[in-house]
Amino acid sequence: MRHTLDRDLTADLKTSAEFVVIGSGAGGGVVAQVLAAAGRDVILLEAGPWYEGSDYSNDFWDSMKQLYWDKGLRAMRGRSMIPTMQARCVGGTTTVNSSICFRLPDYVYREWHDPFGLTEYTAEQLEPSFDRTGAFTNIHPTDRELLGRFDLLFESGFAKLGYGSKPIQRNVRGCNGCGLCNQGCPFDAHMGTDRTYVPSAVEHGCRLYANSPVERVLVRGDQVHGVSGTVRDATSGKPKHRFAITAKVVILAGGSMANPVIWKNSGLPDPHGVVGRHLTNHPGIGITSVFPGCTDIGISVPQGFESSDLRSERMMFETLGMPPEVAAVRMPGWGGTYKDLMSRYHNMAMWGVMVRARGEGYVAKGLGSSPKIVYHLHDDDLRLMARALRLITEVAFEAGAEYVIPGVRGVPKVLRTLKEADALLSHPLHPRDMMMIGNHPLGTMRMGDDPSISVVDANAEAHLVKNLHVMDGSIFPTNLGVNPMWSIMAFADYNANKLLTRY
Amino acid sequence: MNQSIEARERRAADEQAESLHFVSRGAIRILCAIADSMFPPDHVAEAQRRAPLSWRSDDERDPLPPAVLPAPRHDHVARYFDNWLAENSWPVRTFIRLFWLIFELSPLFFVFRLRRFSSLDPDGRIDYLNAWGDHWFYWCRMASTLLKSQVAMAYFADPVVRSKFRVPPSPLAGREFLKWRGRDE
Ligand SMILES: Cc1cc2nc3c(=O)[nH]c(=O)nc-3n(C[C@H](O)[C@H](O)[C@H](O)COP(=O)(O)OP(=O)(O)OC[C@H]3O[C@@H](n4cnc5c(N)ncnc54)[C@H](O)[C@@H]3O)c2cc1C
Ligand code: SF4
Repeated sequence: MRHTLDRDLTADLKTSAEFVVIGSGAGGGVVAQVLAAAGRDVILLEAGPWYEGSDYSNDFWDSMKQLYWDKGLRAMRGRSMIPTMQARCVGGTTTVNSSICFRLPDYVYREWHDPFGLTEYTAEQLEPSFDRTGAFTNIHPTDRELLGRFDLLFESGFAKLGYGSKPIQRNVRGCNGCGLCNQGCPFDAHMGTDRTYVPSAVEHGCRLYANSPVERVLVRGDQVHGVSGTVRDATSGKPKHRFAITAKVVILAGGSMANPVIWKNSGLPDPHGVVGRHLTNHPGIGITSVFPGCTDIGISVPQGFESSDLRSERMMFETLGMPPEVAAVRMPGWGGTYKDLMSRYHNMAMWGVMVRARGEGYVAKGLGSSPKIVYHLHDDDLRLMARALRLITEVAFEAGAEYVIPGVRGVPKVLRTLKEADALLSHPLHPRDMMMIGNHPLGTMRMGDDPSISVVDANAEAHLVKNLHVMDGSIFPTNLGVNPMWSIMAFADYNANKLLTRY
Repeated sequence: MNQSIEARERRAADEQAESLHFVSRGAIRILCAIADSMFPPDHVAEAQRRAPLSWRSDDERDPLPPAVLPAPRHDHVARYFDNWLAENSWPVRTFIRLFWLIFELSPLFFVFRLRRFSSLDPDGRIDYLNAWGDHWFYWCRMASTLLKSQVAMAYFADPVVRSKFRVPPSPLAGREFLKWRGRDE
C-alpha cells in the first residue's frame, strides 16, 4: 500500500487549504492534478486506501472486499435487483475498470443544449480536454496480440452480418493481457487516475489523505466553508482521528452514488428535490456462447473489442471476459448437466450489450453507510434488450457457436439454433427475467441552467451553495451511450481549468 | 450412491464443526449438499446427465481435453464459509443463517417431499434446487442465484479445483501470474 499523509497523523487534523477535492476517481483525480500543477494549495480526500500492483490478487472475493464499496454487493432496487459496483480506493473506479475509452458522441452534446442550457459544451470546445486527458493516460487502440480468441470470434460474427467492429481504445501502458483489470491491475499497467493524475498531483504538492471519508460539507451562510470527516485505519476500517478542513473552494467528486448522500448528510439546501434524482446508467446484459476450441477467456484483455454500429439505436456491444466463479452464476440448472456446461468454460465467449436506457432512478440516504439506490427500467429498454440479445445470439451462431446460453427466463436455457432465439422477441420480458448489471451510474447531481431541474450550473458550481463545485460523472444530465470515464476526465479537466481563472 | 455422498457430507460436517467458529454442523451439510449438486462426483454426474443437454468437449474440433471439475472438497467449502461469515456483521450473519435454515426445511413446499434438503437423494436435491431457481416468485430465484454464486466462489477458491480446471491458482499476482500463463520472458 502506498504511503499517504493520513498514516502520519497522531491526533485529530485541523487544517486549511485553498481547494479541497473529495474523491480521487475519474473526476476528482483530474481536478486535483490540474489545480496542483498550477501551483494551487490543494487537499485531496479519498475514502479508500492507495494500493499498488503488488497489493492485488486474482482471488475474486478478496478483490471485491478490498476494492469495492459494500464488498461489491451493491444493487439498485426497483422492478428488479440490478447489481452495480463502485470502487473505494485512490483512483476510484478508474482503478478497477476495464480501461475502455470513448469520446463523448456528438449527439449527446446536442441533447444537452436546449433542455439543460449547456450551450458552451460542444465537441470543439472540449476537444483540447479530451486530447490532454487522452495523452496523459495513454489512450490507444488495444494491440491485436493482447486480444483473446473470443474477441476475434466477435469480430468475425459481426462482420458476417455486415456490421463493423474494432479493438477498443484503452488507457493502459505495458498491458500484458492478464485479464484481471476489474480486480486491480497487478502490473501497474492500467492508467487509472491512481497511476497518472494522483501521483502527478502529489508531486506538485497536493496533500493526499487516503482512508479519509468526508462526512459533511460545511457551509456558512450560502457559501462553502470546508469539510469534516473521519480518518480510518487502512486495513481494519476502524476510526482513528477526526478531521476538519477549512477551504475557500470545495470540489465534490465522490461519484454518482456518494455525492447525494454527502449532500444530504451535510444538510445542504435542496428546495426542488433534485439532489440524487435522475439517476441514469447503461444497463448491461450478456450472453454466453460455447465454441469448439479454446477461447482464451479469463486469460486475455477482459474487454478488447467493440461494435458501435448500432449506437444510434441505443445499443453498444462489447466483449467480456470473466473468471469461472462469475461464469458459474450464469450457467443454468444444477447437477450433471450444470457440471457439463461449466466444464466448457475454456470454450466460452461472453459478449455483452450495454443499452442507453431511458429508465431513471434516484439515490438517497440508506440504512447505515450504504446509499439507497432505486432504478426503474423503461419498457422500451426491455424491448431494446430483447432485440440486442437476439442480435448477439445471431452473431454468435454466425461466428460458429455450438450453442448459446441466453440467461433469460422464459426462453430455452440453451439455444442450439437461431430459430430458438426468436423466443427472445416473442416473449414479453420483465426486468426480473434477466441477469443485468447497472453499468456507469450517472446524473444524480446534474448540470443545467435551471435550478429546478439541476443541482449545478454550467461551471459545475452548485446553484445554491457558492464555491461548492461538483466534478464527476454525477453532473451528466443524461447517460451517454458509451463508457463514460474519458468524458468524465475531460469534463473535469475543462471545468478545473475554469476554476484557475475564477479563483 | 446417495448414501456415499451423504456419508461424506456428514463426516465433513462432524470433522469440521470442531474447528470452525461461525458455521454449524447443519450449515456445513447444507452447503456441501449444494456444492455436490453443482459439481457432483463423476459417477453421480453421469447418472444425472440428461440426453438433450449432454455435451462433452471431446469433440474432435476441440484440441483441448475437457476441463476436469473435481468433486468439491467439503473441508474447504466449510472453511471458506466460516471465514466468509466471520467477515460479516452479526445481523447479516443471523440473516444468512436464518435463510439457510429455511432453505434446509422447505422441500415440502417446493417438491412435496417431507425431508430436509440435505437428506434428499441427489436427484431430489436437483429437483428442489431447480424449483427454487425456476420459481415464479422473484425472490426465490434471487436466493437460488445467490446460493449458486456463493458456493461457486467457495468451490473455485480451492487450489485443487483451480489446478485441475486449468485456471491460475489464487491468490496470484504480478510476475507469478505471467509465469503461470507461460508469458513471462
Ligand atoms: C467493473 C467496472 C468496470 C468499468 N469499466 C469501465 C470502462 O472500461 N470504461 C469506462 O469508461 N468506464 C468504466 N466503468 C465506469 C467508470 O469507471 C466510472 O463511471 C467512473 O470511474 C466514474 O468516475 P467518478 O469520478 O464519477 O467516480 P469514481 O471513479 O467512482 O470516484 C469516486 C471516488 O470518490 C471516493 N469517495 C466516495 N465517497 C467519498 C467520501 N465520502 N469521502 C472521500 N472520498 C469518497 C470513492 O472512494 C472513489 O474513489 C466501469 C465501472 C466498473 C464498476
Ligand atoms: S489486462 Fe492485466 S495487465 Fe492489462 S490492464 Fe488489465 S490487469 Fe493490467
